[in-house]
Amino acid sequence: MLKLQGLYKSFHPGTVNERTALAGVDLTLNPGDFVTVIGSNGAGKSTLLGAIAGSFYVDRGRILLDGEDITYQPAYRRSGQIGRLFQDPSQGTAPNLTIEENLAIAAGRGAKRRWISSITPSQRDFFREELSLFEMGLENRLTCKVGQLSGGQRQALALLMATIRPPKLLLLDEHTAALDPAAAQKVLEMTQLVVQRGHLTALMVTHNIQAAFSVGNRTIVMGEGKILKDLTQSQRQSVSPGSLLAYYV
Amino acid sequence: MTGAALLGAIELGLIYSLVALGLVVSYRVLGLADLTTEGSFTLGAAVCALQTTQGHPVLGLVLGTLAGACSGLVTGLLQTRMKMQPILAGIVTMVGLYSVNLMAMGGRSNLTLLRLDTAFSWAEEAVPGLGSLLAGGVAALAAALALGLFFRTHGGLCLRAVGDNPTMVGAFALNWENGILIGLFLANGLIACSGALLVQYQQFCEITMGTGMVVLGLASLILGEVLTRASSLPGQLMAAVVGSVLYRILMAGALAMDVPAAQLKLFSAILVALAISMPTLRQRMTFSRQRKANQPKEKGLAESRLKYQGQGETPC
Repeated sequence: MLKLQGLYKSFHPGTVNERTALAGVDLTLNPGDFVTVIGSNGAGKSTLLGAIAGSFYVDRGRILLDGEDITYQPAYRRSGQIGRLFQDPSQGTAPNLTIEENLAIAAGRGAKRRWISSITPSQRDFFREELSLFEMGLENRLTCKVGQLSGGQRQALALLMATIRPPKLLLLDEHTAALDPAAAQKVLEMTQLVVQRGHLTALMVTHNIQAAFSVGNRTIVMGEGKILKDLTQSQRQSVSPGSLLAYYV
Repeated sequence: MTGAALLGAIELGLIYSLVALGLVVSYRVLGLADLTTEGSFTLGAAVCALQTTQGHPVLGLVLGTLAGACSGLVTGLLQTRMKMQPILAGIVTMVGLYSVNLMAMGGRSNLTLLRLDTAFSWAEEAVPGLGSLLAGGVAALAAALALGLFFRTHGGLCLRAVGDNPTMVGAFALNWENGILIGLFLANGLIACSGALLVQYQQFCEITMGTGMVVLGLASLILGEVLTRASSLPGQLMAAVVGSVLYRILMAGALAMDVPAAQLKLFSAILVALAISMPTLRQRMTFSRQRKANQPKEKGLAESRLKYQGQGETPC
């Protein structure tokens, strides 16, 4: 599914601020893998997701998605196959557009965009049905501006937008970190739901070790731009989360 | 104000409303203060004027519009492909356009179209007296309607999202840079079309006619928005037309009240400042009313205090 070969990335090269964010990352994701990523601040977790999404180009190495080399594909083109959620709920949605308008743009991803009416009644029914899955009452507020929603609601909407057309790969960059505990729990549950339902392949960065171990089927631990540990489902059960603190240096 | 002056003001307002409509796209939808406007307005006028003097008024309108649209594209390319600051990109294009406009007018700084065939002369022939009003009205409504329809399409929706959150647009396989290009192409096309119509209407073209166009267009738009209380996009399009016409009527009113011609610019600047600060003033008035209502009743309080001291009651 996703194959990363020897990824290197340093920021501000040639200056005193030079910092190697990725120092040779090799990773292979199998179809249906739901991998959680943990590690200390500055370990390279977000950089890894940024490299895959195309926020910047890597210095060395290759990125293959489904056999296709996307190393030098611009971000907006990769996003046809890759869905992404950020920590900040406002990044994934347009505040002055209504819920249904946001969803219509998301539903247009990778599809042939129509130059006729932007939202059809059948589409509206589909949006309502999908939103009701989240049990947040958003299905009754289709024409509400997204800026009026709470952070949790916005992130839930962003999650639905990222997956309404199943992407080949879903990147979640601490997407529950800015939410209150209840909302974070809710969004995490919904994440598991949509990933399961769509049989998606996903990478989730989190600082919540408990969540990292209970969600998905695999966990990688990063440090200093490298993958330090790659734990499968059975290995995860034999490791105590506490022992992982040693990797947070 | 005489009837003729009022009619003229409405005609002018309808023609200028295309500038305000263009600003709905660049300023309201994309959130860009696009200074290309000043140059593209004159470019549309200059190209149209030259074609009209050659006896091609319709071709002039079309070419003028297209030329202006392309100048918007130049600003867009500077902004996106060269990562130039939006304001700076607009200024660079505007400066360059000054020379281009002089060239488009054959090296002269003004051109006269007196006694030549124009869209307005034809309209006046067809409907004497009201032809210009009709022609201007058709142009304004057609432009507003076309924009309204465009923004109902999926492409129009995506353009609105580009102005709202470029990051989000990029996450759904859309290139936000192309959105900026399309938006500035459309906006400056409309603005140039306004310039082209204006030279045919006033039968005169000069190199400085675009000066202050951004502020005038913006003032018309905001004046319309404040009065119609429009917040939705279709409402904003109507507000642009209404505001433009109203702005011109106010200017004509000032002339009728014998404001000296030399002071007209000052009057227009005050009008612009008033229109733009209207939403803030309104907000402030609402707040001060709210604040007053929330004040403890001083007199009542003093009375109850006296009562308490006098009768030895315990307050609850």
